[in-house]
Amino acid sequence: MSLHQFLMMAVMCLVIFLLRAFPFLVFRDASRQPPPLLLYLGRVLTAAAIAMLVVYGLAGMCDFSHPRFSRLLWALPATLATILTHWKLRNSLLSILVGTGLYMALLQWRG
Amino acid sequence: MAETALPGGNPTPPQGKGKDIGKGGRPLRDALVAASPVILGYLTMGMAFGVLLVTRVEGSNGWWCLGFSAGALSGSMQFASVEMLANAPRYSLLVTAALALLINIRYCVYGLPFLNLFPTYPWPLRLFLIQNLSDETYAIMASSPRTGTEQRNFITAVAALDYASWVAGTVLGALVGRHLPFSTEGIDFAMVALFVVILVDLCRERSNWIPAAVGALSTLLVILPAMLFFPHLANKTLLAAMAIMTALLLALRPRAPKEGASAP
Repeated sequence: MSLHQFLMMAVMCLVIFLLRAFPFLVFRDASRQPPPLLLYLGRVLTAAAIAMLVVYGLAGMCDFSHPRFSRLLWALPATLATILTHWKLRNSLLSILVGTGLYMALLQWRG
Repeated sequence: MAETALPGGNPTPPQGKGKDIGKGGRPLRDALVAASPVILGYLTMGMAFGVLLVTRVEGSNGWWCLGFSAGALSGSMQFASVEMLANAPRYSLLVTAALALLINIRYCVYGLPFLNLFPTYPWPLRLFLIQNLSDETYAIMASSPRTGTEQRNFITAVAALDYASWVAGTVLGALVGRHLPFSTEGIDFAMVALFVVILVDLCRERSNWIPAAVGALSTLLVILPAMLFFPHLANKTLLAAMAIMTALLLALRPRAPKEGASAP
C-alpha cells in the first residue's frame, strides 16, 4: 500500500464520519432546525452524484484507440440488462449479477 | 427496507416511526430478526466489494478491507473508490474528499432523529452508533418505537450485527478473490452495475428525475470534450462536474414562500 492510497482511504473515512456526526456537532440543541438549503442539497445531491458515477464509470470503459470503441460496446447491453432486471424484479444482487455476468461473458468470449 | 442492502444503497428510508419488524419485547432477538435481511445483503455485497478490490488494486488484501470497511461503512463510496485506488497517483486528496462529500452528503441529515437520544449514551457507544448511520441501519433504528434501555439494546444490537456483516463480508471477499475458479476479467463492471441499481431505485421516485438528469448531463458535458481532446485529463474532470451539478441544482431549487426569514 502506498502512502497516497492509505491517505485516500483515511480521507474518505474521515469525511464520511464527519458527515454522520454533523448534526450532533452543529445542532446540539434540538430546537435549532437545520437550514432548508442543507436539507435540499442532502436530498438532491445523492441522485445527481450516483448518476455522475454511472456516466463516469461507463466513460472509463471507453477507449477510442481500440477497435469497436472497446469495452463500451459490451457495457451498454450489460447496463440495459441491469436496468431492466432491476426495474422488474427489484433484487439488487440479482440485477448486479445479471449485468456483470453478461458483461464478463461478452468480454471473455468475444474479446 | 433492505432492498439495496449495502451501506449507502437505499437513499429513501422511512421517516420517523413507521412499521416495526419483529417487535416482541426481547430486544436482542428482535434485533436479529429485524437485521437479518440487511445481514444477508451486507455479507454478499461486502464479498463482491472484497473480490473487486483485490482483483483490481495491486497489492491490496484483507487487511485493507478490514480497515477501510470498519472506517467507512459506505458501500457506494467503497465501490467508487476501487478505480481510484487502482489509479491512485491520478487522484489528489482534494478530489477524493470532494467525491466522498458528494456521494455521502445525505448522511448529514441521518443523525437528526437521534439528536436527543444518542447524547444520553456513553461516548464510545455514541460514536459507534453515529458511525453506523448507513441507509439500512438508519432505517431500522429510526423506525423502532422502543424507549429506554430496551431501545438502547435494540439499536446497539442491530448496529453491531450490520457492522460486523459488512466488515466480515468484505474481508471474506478479499480472501477468496484471487482464488476464484474462473477468470475475473470484466468484474469491474460490478461497480457500474451497482450504481445503475441504486439509480433505478432512486428514479422510482419522480422527484429524483431532475437531479439524476442534472448529474448525468453535467458529467457528460465535462467528460466528453475531455475524453475526445484531452484523454490524459479525463480523471481530473470530476471536480468540474461536481461543481457544475451543484450550481445547477442550486439554481433549480424550488423556492417555497414559507421559508421566509429563516431561509439562508
